[in-house]
Amino acid sequence: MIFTALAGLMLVAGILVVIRLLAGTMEHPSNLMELLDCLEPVNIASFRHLACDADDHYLKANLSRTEYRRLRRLRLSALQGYYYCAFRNSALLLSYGTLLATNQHPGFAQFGHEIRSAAIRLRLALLRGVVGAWICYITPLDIPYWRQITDCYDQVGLQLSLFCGSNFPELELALAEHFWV
Amino acid sequence: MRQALYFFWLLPIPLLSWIATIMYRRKQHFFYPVFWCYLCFQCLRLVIEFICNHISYKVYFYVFWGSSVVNFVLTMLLLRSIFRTVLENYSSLGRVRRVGYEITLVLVWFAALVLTIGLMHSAGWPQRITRAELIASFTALAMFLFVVATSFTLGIKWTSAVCGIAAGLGVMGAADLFVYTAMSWARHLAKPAAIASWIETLAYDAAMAIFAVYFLPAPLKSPPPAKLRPDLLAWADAMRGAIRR
Repeated sequence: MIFTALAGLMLVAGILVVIRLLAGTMEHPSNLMELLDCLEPVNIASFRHLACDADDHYLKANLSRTEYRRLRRLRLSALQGYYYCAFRNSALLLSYGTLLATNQHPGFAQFGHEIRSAAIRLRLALLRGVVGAWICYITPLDIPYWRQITDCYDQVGLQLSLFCGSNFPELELALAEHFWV
Repeated sequence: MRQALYFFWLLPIPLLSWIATIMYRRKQHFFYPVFWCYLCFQCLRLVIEFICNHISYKVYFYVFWGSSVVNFVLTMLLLRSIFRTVLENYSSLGRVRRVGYEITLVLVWFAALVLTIGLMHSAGWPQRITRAELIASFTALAMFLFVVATSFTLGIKWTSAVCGIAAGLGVMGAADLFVYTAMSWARHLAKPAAIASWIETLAYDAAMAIFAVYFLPAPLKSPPPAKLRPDLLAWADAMRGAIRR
């Protein structure tokens, strides 16, 4: 019975995946302007503030248990919102990096490789972060991996900023709005 | 009815040979060597099985189950090649790329083995073979889902050819799992086997049609890349420096 249920679930998942594959995979920004249009702004300073353990400890010491739990849940759901935005952005950056890596200009191709590596590091940190945040819903642990996520995000923003500065200076302002660099 | 089944059975042969030839002429067999071998094997398999079916049931039995084993191995290799190709550009995923597929394959295989214990009503040879096929189809579909899920989770974009290969394998894997799970509930295999062969044949044809859709049309010719003139690049660099100053 367990096997049949599992097989049924796998069949449904398999059919959905085949439909998804036949429909195409994901957005593919073809230039920096399109990439900036598709990216969702993530204020990493606010994220850092929200995930910081010091605030959590202060609230724990000064609020009643019920209020603290309610507030912690709200903070965690806000964090998940940040994670999902950053998750989507990292997929777009990966896609853009892959496209740029095939560019005939060696400088652009090199940047494509670099941004792709940075985006996959961000993606892995985000995966750990999302799992960690889900665990925090049921355990009183501090929020894990947020430092790695902010570091990776800053790194991506810095790389894009340098690329913009040397090749598309007119887009620097738009980039700053997305990455707060 | 039998004539119709033969028709759908033999239908993929010209299609498969056409895809294999086109791929060879476009030198795509260098880019997708496992897939090309898989196509050639499928083409040969269909011809040999059809001939053996008319020679004797015993010969057909051994050829069919022998080729099913080779088919399973090739499917696993094909999924592994997709997994490795998709992750090959990411140095930070080197360890996942090297051992991730093999570890998952072993885990899924054992899970399938444990879950199917006691599933069959009797322990005759037909049931044993059905169980082996059930384990194989479960493993194939689980590995297909693992490869796709890894790629989706990591946000890696696939080329259309890889999407086509994976979608075809997914259709065949889903049909196999459905058929063999349904047959595991049957007490007598004679009548369900006739329905199963129809489902399998149609799913197989659908998968081959997917391969054809992705590999037969001529690849879109992108306009020749505008050559970056070195003098213009030098001018752009000079201008950029002037603006900064």
